[in-house]
Amino acid sequence: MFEPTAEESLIRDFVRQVARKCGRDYWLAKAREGAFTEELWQELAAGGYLGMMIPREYGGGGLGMQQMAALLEEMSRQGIPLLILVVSNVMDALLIARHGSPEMKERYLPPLARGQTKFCFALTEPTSGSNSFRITTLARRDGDTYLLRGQKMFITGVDVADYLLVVARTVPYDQVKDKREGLSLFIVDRRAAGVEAQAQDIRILLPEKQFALFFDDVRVPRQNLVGEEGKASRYLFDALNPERISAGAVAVGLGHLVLEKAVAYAKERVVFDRPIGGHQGLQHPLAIAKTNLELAALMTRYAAWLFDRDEDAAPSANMAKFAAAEAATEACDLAVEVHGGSGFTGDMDIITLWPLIRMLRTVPVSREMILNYIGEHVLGLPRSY
Amino acid sequence: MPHIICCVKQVPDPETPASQFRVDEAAKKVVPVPGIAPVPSQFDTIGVEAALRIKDKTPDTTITILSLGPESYRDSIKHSLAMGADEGVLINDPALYEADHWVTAQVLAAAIGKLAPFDLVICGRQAVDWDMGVVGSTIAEILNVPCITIAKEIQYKDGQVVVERVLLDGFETAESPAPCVVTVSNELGEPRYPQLRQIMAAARKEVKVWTASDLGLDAAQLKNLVSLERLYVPEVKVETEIIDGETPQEKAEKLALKLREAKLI
Repeated sequence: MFEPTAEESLIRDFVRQVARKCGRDYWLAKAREGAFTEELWQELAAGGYLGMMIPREYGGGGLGMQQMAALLEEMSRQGIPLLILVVSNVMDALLIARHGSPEMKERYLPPLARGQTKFCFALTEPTSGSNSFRITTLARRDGDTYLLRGQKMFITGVDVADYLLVVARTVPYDQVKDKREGLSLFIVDRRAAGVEAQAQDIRILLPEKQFALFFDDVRVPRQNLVGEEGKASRYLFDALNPERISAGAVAVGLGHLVLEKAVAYAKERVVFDRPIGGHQGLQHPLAIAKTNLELAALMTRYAAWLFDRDEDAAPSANMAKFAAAEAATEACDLAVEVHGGSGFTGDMDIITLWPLIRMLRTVPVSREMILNYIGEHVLGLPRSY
Repeated sequence: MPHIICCVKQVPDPETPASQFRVDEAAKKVVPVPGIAPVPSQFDTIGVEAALRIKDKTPDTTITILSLGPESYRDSIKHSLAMGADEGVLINDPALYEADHWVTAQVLAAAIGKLAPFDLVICGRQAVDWDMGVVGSTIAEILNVPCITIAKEIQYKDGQVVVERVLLDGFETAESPAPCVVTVSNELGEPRYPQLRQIMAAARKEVKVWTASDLGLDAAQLKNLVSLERLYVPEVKVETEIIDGETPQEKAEKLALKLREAKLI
């Protein structure tokens, strides 16, 4: 598992080639004007990469998380990460492919693989972030439809998406014996009556925006229920572990990007007659940052490998996300330090990456919740929250 | 069924920042930059693109990728297979790792002979590391077939190769019966991206590995014609002189005089 597969090397080649056309400058220009990187998306679609994790019978490549992690890591290393790729074509694609009805797969997966449609993932709510079981968005049965009512927050890419994959309660939290029961998953047309989206003021330079979503008795056809009613908590980990692995891959890529800038500058910048990288005060932190990034990359790779083998990837996915976000944050802070005052300029493009890298410590799951998980489920310590 | 053989060399990534480029003067070698993977030479990838354009029009075309180098060169062959080429051959023989253009051309020509029959051999106009630009035409000389260099377009039909060549002041069209060798230039256009499906297919494709003896060659008898005397990064000294003056006109006049003194204008 230490050797990259032949596919992974070629996927990285592809990303580097695409980045010559739709690279960091293009991505930054789009992010600054608040526009989606449609040209980059179409390059990914034309090459078949959006369908990477979609089964071959539905027009995808039928590959796994290892190859997707290579794509995400390399895109990030080239400075062109796309969060909606994780949401739409990893999490939602996997949920539909694994738990959707045959008709649902036939209808939604091929256009998703071709890049003709995009999905959002709507789980987080204003009053339930880390504690997903406490969501209050409710879907009530009404004949052949469900009536969806509630509110979501921090939902990526609603403005460019065609569908929302919404987690809602079909039984309210206070009416279930087991908090895991009563959660259901629905495909909702973004243009359905009663869906309202409000862009949130998120100060992270990204081509995707985040939205608050409001559902005001949105009618959802019964056939849009993914899997069985009330059983979604069992399905969610098919999306949440890949999301953590994806976050790990993005953090590793971004960490390498900023560390490479720091190392290049430390070799070039001469103060007191020698390059600043020749002083242990900077050289050792750079060496530590490199070590931590490589360790995080290995854990991300291990988690993806376990997931592709259908083994329990949760401990390693959590550790990978934690380690990668910490390592990338450390690398970015160090890159600013190495550049001195220049580190704060837009030209150096390091401080511009800081909010995104820092976000990965908190999103998609906070470092504290990860530590809780590792403490309780890996180390067997008493639950601490 | 046309058979096109594309020669592909692997080179250090030319996008490597200049600040990281190092040579080992004692060993007379370029020091690989850690973390920056080598890539197929861009002109060679454009050659693969030229072959694929012929295959687009004549789908029963077979494209074979041929490379001479160590095991790591397999990556560049796989890249070309992922673009849509059909087969790959790597000539991997430690006795040939230091081959100059003459030995390289002899070995590639012997391999092309073994892969015969062929209609077209396509090479990049030059490798982007050493920029010698002679392997393609040397192969043609050894194989005793025509050679058309610096192509911006190649058409193949019924055993006839029509090439639009790049000249300093325009283009010219040259024609040759197959088999022949054509070297391609960047004016041909951007090479296509590897598609995911082709990547998956390429990952499964076997790359044949040959040694000099598989080609009926005795590596000990292959002698380089070129010897590298010295390898170094030239020092570039920049001296800056600020031209002063009361008015822009005066500054411009002084600058013009300086440039004339330096015989630059």
